[in-house]
Amino acid sequence: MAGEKKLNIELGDRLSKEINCGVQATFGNMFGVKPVMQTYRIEKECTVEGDISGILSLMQEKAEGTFIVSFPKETIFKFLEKMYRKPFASIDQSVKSGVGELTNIIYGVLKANLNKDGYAFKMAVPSVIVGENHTVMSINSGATMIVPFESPLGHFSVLVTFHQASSGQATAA
Amino acid sequence: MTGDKTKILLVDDFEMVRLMLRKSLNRLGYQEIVEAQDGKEAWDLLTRAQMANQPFGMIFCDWSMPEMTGMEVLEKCRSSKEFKNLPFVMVTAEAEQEGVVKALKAGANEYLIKPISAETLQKKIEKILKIKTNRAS
Repeated sequence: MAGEKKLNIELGDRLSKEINCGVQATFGNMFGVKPVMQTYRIEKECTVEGDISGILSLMQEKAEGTFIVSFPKETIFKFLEKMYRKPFASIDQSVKSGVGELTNIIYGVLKANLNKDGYAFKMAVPSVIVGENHTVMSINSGATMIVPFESPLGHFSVLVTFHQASSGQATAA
Repeated sequence: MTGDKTKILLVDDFEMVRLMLRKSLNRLGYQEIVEAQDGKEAWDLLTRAQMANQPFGMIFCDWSMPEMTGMEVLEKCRSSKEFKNLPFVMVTAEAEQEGVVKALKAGANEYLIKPISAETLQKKIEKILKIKTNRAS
């Protein structure tokens, strides 16, 4: 019910559905591309198979986590080339700010949809990290859901991890 | 195509969003578009254009920016004689009702939530132009 705070969301079908909604709305409107969501997987460690990632904190009243959108450089270059109509050869400021804003917009859609059902996620400011197959480690992090996407311009992934509560259970899972 | 000769100011700290909005506005027939990357630059452009007697006819301003936020630009516009009636569209990735209500209460004519579809952009512009026409008649 809207307005009533629900704090439990699992790393599973509902979350992947809302991630897909965010990705479709963002890439559809901004690039005219419809990425296809692949089967998600849950892993113990948060290893990102990308060269550049937008990261922001998932914040609820009683839960914290991390939301990541990660691209191989070839993929993000192709997306930005479609928008800018010029080639990209390196991860410059336009690429970094583009990944930050894409992360922000996808999360905005996800958050709005979840909050309609009372999950009460707060807005957060994205950061961008760059590095080949980087690993994101956070203290007390629980399992990570990895949602891969395929598109005509290349593949990318969305990852969500929730931190462990002191009881040993993931606070938002 | 609904475009006219309205001069539009696009304010967003993200180049990609400005580019996307510019393309959509171009497709709607708006060609005279100036960009600013933060609220401070936007305010400078607004005042300079006003002084040069080439005022902007509409502003699309991002909610969250360094230097001067979209809300600060809006409040500054609405408290000034020159820009109190300037059609102002607040652009935000913050889809919460609270932020939208805050912007509308502060005097924004419309709001756009990212990601922005071409259809939504067109509808909002048409709505603003209708208000402008009604006000002028």
